[in-house]
Amino acid sequence: MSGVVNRTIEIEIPPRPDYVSLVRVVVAAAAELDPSLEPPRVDDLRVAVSEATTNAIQAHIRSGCTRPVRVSCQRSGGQVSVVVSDEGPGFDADARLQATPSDTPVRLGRESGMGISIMRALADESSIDSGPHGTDVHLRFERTL
Amino acid sequence: MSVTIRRSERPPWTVLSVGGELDVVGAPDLRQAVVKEVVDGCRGLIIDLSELDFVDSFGMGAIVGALKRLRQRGGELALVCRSRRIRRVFEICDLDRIIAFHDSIDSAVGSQPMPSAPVTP
Repeated sequence: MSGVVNRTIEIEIPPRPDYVSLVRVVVAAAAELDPSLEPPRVDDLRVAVSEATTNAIQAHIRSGCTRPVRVSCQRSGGQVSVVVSDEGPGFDADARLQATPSDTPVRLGRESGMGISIMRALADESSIDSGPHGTDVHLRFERTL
Repeated sequence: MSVTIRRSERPPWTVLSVGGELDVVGAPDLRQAVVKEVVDGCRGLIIDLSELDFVDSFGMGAIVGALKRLRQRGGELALVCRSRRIRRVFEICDLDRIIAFHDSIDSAVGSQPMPSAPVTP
């Protein structure tokens, strides 16, 4: 884990699921520093960062990439911006977002695929830049809802 | 912190009380506990999330899996969750439309089962 530079915290973690909770703790702690996000916003941040980081780790595991996943958290102007970067093979975010109504039989048969929807619902702004050499997930959270 | 799962009985319901963090690390433990209950004949399952600190899509996936496994066998699932923070994550995915939420185990025990939806294999 690297150090703190100004108001940006940068973390590099091994591509292992047991590091996701560490990322949640560090990013939430950073968000609670002055100027802090309100507690419900920190909760939103924890969930969204957990989704993005888990997806990044899984992308590395699936592709056999042993390089670290990078998480950058920047505080400025009453908001927190997070970028989760991986070096996996990329994916089509729009295709994954083809939502199935929750009360259909098909929806009950799916136990995954909710992560991107959750990130987009919780963040004030989100974007996914994905290509064959990796994916950057950008999340921005305002201080208040 | 990982997930903790405590089992108890409120006949005819079985209660799994889940605490800690239900994420990519904790979800497989819940999935395994549910599979064991269903294999052992459980058809009425209450998952108590009162002590849960965190849930994301992986935890919710384990709960959707529990619902699917129970309904495939004519059973039913109820969730106990008073935390607005935890419930909000379920609501984002519309899962509150297909899973019964209760404020307490007593409320869940006294509830009528929700109508079962057909599930494709």
